[in-house]
Amino acid sequence: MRELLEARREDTLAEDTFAGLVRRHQAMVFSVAYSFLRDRAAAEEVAQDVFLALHRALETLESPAHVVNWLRRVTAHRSIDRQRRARPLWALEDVQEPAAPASTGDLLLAEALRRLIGTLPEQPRMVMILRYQEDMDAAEIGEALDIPVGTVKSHIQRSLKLLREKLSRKYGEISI
Amino acid sequence: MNLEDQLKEALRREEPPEGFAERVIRQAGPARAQFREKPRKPRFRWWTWPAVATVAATMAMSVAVEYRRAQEAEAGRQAILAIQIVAEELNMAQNEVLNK
Repeated sequence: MRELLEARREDTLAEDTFAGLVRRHQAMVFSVAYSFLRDRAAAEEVAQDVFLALHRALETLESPAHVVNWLRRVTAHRSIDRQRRARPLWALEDVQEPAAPASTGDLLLAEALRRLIGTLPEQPRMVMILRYQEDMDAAEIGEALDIPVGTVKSHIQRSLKLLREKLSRKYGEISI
Repeated sequence: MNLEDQLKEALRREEPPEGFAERVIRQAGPARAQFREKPRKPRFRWWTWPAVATVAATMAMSVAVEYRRAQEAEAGRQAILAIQIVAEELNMAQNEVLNK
């Protein structure tokens, strides 16, 4: 029993090291950046930048939960910064509907959704990614992005409405 | 499947490129940084402040009693001194009367 406890303690310590944190959270950080930027190389650069910043900031963080919140927040902000430097914004209303035919199934629907989300303005796009990829609630998203909860809810509702309209035109009625 | 479920499906996490973690760890340097070890704060239990107050009150009462005792002792000494002075004066007066 004592050996098991010792082993468990060593595992926890190993996970709390920088290397352990990188391995545990790399998919989360990379995916948030990739869903936002739609560019694997750019997402990798952002993710690397975020983890190097974590390495410098690790001594100021106090718990695994604190690290997760910190990573989500910094990834969101750095992805937005990267986008601002890279290219001008598009409004969802200006984007053409996906060209895929209605019979191609869920894979193309998923790709169409990713493309449409990728064309949302920065803030609502990141809100949708944190909501539906990271399963964060409105309060958590507001805290991560430094915006009011009401704004988060408004972005979600408006984006869902726009996505539904765009998809309905191509794929028929979508139930919510 | 409704739109929200389809969004969750479309936005599933993806793994970063092969070797990503190792590259980051190598670039970050050899230090095995860990969470800050928070300094242990003294633990105060519910009875700490009542106990401190009781001890302080007891000490204050002891000081007050001691002070009162000292005052009484001083008053006693002064009374005895006064009696001695009066007795001495009485003796002197008696001697004067007897010598006349």
